[in-house]
Amino acid sequence: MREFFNPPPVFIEIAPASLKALREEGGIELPLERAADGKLTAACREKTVAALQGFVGRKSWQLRVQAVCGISLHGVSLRKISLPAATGDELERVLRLQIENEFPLPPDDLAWGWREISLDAARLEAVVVAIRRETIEDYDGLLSAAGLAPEFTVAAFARNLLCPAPDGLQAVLEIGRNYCELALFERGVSVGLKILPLPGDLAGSVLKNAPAKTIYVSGTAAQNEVFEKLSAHADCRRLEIAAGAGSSAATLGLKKSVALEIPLLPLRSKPGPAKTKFNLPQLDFSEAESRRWLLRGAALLVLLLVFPFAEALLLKPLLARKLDTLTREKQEFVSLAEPEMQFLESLKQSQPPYLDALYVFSKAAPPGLHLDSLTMDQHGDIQVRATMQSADQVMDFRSKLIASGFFANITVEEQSPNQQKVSVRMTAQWKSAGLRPAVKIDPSPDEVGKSNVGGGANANVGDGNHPPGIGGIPQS
Amino acid sequence: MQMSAMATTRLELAESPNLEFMRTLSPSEKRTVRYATIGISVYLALFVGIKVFKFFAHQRADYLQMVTEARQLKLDTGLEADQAALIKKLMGDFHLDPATLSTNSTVADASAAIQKAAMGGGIGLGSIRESAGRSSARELATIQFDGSGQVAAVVSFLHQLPLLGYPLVIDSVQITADVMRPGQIKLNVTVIVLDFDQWKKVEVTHA
Repeated sequence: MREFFNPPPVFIEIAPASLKALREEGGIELPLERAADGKLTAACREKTVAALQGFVGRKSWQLRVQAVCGISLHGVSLRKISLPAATGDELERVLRLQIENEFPLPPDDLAWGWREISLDAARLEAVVVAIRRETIEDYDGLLSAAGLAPEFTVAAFARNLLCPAPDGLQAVLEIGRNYCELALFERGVSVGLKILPLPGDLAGSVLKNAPAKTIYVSGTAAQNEVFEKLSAHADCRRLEIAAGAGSSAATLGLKKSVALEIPLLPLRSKPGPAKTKFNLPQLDFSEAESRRWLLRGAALLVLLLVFPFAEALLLKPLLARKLDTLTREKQEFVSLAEPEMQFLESLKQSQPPYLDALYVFSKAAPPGLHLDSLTMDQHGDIQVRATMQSADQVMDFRSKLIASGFFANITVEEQSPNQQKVSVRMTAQWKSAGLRPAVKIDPSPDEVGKSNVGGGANANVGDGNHPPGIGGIPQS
Repeated sequence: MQMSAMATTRLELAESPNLEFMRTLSPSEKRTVRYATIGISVYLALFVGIKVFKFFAHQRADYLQMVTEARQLKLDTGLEADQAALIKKLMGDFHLDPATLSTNSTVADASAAIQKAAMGGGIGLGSIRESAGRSSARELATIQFDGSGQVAAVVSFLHQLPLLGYPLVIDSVQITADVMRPGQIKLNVTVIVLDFDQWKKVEVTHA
């Protein structure tokens, strides 16, 4: 997604007679035609812009594609300068003064960049590389028209990154068809740049101008003869470059600098953007750029105001349709689920707690109780006919039933002596669901133990063949 | 002849000094007309603008209302999901799917299931009587039966009755000691079979 909005960069090498562009998907090489003043001809610009636009394939709504450009050494000057140690704006000012001294043109007419070589308490040693500003602006206009956002450096610096040890003392020689570029590096910083003409004694010129013991050679026209001659006097190695359109030591070096985030000395024709605060009264709306921004702002404001209404207008039919569907589905669900729900809940609530009542009776029953009959109905009315051993047991039984909290209106309707026992007829009613306590019908540990040893006989009801928790409960 | 008469009449009308179709307006009149035009234009613009704004505002209010309804529906959907889960649980508890109940065969099937459960649980069944239920109480039928068995079997049977897969509610239970067979008790149970169709009808009338 990030690449969708922010496409990958393009790496470009600009030489006097050609432009090579390399991207992830491939590359192109375009011929350049120059007028007598060295600038590109109008026809060449037109063709190049069209070709680059086709190569980049940028959509109008996408951001400008970053273009990292390396330019040839033609017109590039390098100076090693020494400055008094300073910082910030002061350093910039001193640097500009020194550039004015060292170069034939003032700093404002140059595109330049600098890199520190050494710094101590008093002095700063730096290398300044500069080129005519209009040259860079010419390239900048060309690439901007193709939808690119260019930034410039020297191609030779990028080539150095392809060397196995870019921070060593070495020379990098690029052999072209009509000229050679020789760049000397010390600890990764260029200390000398030279253009050597062809044909001529190239090996001799290189050895004369390059004191370095290691020379890296690149270029499509690298001659074996020159290579052999150089090898006889120095450690000469080839920079192997993969073949393909747009592929060169410079473009690959630029690609490596971006991939590994190694900064190359930049050539800038304009000072960096100042950090200014937005000040509406100071905006000059006579400038086309300002008017454009004003229009964009106004368009955003209009969008902001219109959006809520547009949203309502556009989404209302969709939402209405969806709401209709959902409402219909809900009604269908309700018509199906609601009766089932009510029916099942009613079924659940209608289930009388017969087993709970039996459990409470069994817990409360005194020893020797003989249950003649027990009648319970859905409404909670209970009638018990039983025979107990004494009147005390009747009272005790009744007290326990009351204490259980399960029953209300416990009435002994009839209690009569029968031989040595007492016959009793009782009525009760279980309390409604919310008022009576929950009954947990589980055997207690004691009951489990007794049932294990065969002591689970119940004297209350039946013969003791009872489910756990119901019968055989020891009486207090 | 006729043509020449018409031409004469036109000529007379054109030459008549009293017939001026449009005289030239004075500057002040032109200004008045201009102001009136501007005023009417502004009025119309405001009138139409307010109408348009009201239309869009109304649309937006409707839309916001719908959004609120949609949110409420979303909440309801969550509740319905809970309700569905509860129904599923109850159906699991009672081993009963109300949708599969058929009014015609429910009583017969329930009676058969009761007898099967009784025999399987060691209850010896006696007489069984079926009678029509009270429709006002949403009952389909009432089944009354006698039986006898051991206490454990009776309790287990009472526990199983509502879980047979039919809408059964035990209306009354009578347990008496079986004098003839020690260790056994006699059982008289009245079971109500609920009528699910009555719930559906009530729901439809509510809807």
